[in-house]
Amino acid sequence: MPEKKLLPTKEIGSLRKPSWLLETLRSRKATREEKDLARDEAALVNIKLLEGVGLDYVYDGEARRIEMYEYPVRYIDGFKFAGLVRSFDNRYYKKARVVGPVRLRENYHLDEFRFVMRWAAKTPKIPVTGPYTIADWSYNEYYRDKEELAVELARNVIRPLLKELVEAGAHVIQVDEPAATTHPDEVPMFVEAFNESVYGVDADIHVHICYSGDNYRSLYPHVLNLRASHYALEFANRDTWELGVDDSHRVGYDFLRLMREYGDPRTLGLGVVDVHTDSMEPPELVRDRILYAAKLLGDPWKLMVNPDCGLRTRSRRVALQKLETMMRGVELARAALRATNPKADA
Amino acid sequence: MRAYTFGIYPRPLRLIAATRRDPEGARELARRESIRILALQDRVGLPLLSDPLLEWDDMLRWFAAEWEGMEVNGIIRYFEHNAFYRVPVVKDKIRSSGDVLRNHLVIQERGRSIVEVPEPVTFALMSKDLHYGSIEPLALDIARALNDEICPLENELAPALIAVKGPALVHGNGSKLAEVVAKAAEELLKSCRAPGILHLYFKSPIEAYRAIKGIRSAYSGVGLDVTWDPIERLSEELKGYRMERLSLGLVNSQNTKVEGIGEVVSSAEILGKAAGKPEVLVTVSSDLEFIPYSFAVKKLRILGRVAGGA
Repeated sequence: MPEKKLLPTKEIGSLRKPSWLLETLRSRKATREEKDLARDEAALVNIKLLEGVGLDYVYDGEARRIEMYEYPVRYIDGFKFAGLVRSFDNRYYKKARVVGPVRLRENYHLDEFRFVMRWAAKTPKIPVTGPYTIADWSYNEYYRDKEELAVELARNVIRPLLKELVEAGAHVIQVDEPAATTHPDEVPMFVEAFNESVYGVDADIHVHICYSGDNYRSLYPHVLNLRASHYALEFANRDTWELGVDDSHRVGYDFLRLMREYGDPRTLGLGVVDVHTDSMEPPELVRDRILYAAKLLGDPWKLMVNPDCGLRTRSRRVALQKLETMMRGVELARAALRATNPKADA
Repeated sequence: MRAYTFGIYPRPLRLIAATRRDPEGARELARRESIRILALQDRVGLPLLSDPLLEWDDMLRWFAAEWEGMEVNGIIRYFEHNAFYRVPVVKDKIRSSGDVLRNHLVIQERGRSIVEVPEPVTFALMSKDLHYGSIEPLALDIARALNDEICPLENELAPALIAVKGPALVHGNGSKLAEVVAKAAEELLKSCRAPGILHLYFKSPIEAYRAIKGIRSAYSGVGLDVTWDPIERLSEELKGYRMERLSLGLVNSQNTKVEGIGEVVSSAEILGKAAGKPEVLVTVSSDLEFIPYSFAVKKLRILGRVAGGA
């Protein structure tokens, strides 16, 4: 584990696959061994790229995964793919039907995690799609309702998967639940399924949520019971691009006020760069977002820094620049915090 | 029983692939695929035909892109779905040239066609307003612009129905804004001969329905997504229904599970009876684009059989 550090940094998950990896995977001539080798190389390049930027927690850019829903569902009994459904514009994802009891057929993250453990010099943080999101993104034709499906996924799929990862050496696990606030009325269901999935899992559990339609307001008070030590959330997407550390310049940070109001002891991963635009945030904007968040929380030690979400929507070059600008902003913020608050000097 | 679909259909796989390669070049294919789906609607026995809107990336897109005073911006979650739309940004007074529907609809069957438009308050709530300052003037100008779009089609198509899509009204806005909804309906349907049906969907429509039924409006009926509430509860709510038409979204377009004909027909009969004597129409719960194309076709066939088709 990294030593206690002011504003530790991390990524959220995915990076765009390198073109040479895609070419190999699509090639009819490439053998299975060649494809596996290409995946290994892409994973290795990603680990070293993220470490090179200076992040404290790293993974492999999800180099082996298709995407966060289709990939796990391929390894879970009880699902049948139905076809493509639109996400936005002409972007589509494969959606599956639940037609029988859900069971983990094969631990779909174990090999990739072992590979990361072998090569990473920094702390690995493994992202795992959570049970509520898988349930919400599927057509339930088998279980009584979504709640029953989500809880069964938690008990029969996610929990055994996480336990094996811990046995293999995982200390930090990020459960991705982007759907958590999609239906505000169902936040208690998300919490219930999440807690079932991490029950008895001896690791530092983070939760990642993004693109909330209600500024994450519906999470409280339910998340006070969440068995997670850390929230990693998207904020930059909803914020302005103006510099400044007051309420008129920073927009969409209601969640931090709620954290403080409820005395929530968890730490927060602050999304400081927007992953849906190539426009590059100046480091000073990253700095101001961090300083504003530190002010709202009243304690900079409760903050970690990350991009809003996985960077796979951007080219690898832009993704790298986004991470570099994030790191420069973090340095500026550390300097400002040290200048104004001697306690911030670790 | 008359039946129809409304909303955006899923794109067939070849259209998704063609659009990925060349969005502009795929427009001709989109038109051909739309004609194919319209022919399928006819073949399965639907008495009313609706444009599958294959060229539309979301329900507001072409209006936002082509009307004066508006532009298209970043993506925002589409209500409570794992789907997103591009938010229209209102920068100036909204004006329509009246060509958007004409240019982006394929449907041509005179007398059997449904013209569909977003409900103006829903449109306003889904937009980012940098000009009007409050919902009412924005919604009323949107209603006027939409009326400019519908009027030319009234003459050319003589539509059988105008389906007005109001999903934002079931997300806690219907009761707050019922009077604005009614005012906007007056503007929207001004001089229209075709009856307007206000569709409430994506969540239980009961609260919005309660608010809207108490206010006199230009709508000739409501369309209710009935997949959220027990039939008994809806029957209670529909007692004393006063409008001429009642459209029931009984075929679930959010789930792949295919309904039985008997169950759809019997629910329609129970609800129709509870409502008194309106004309009962049967439809989908919302856009079919939330299920893959092959399942949308299955749902379409169910609807055709409900309407008495083969």
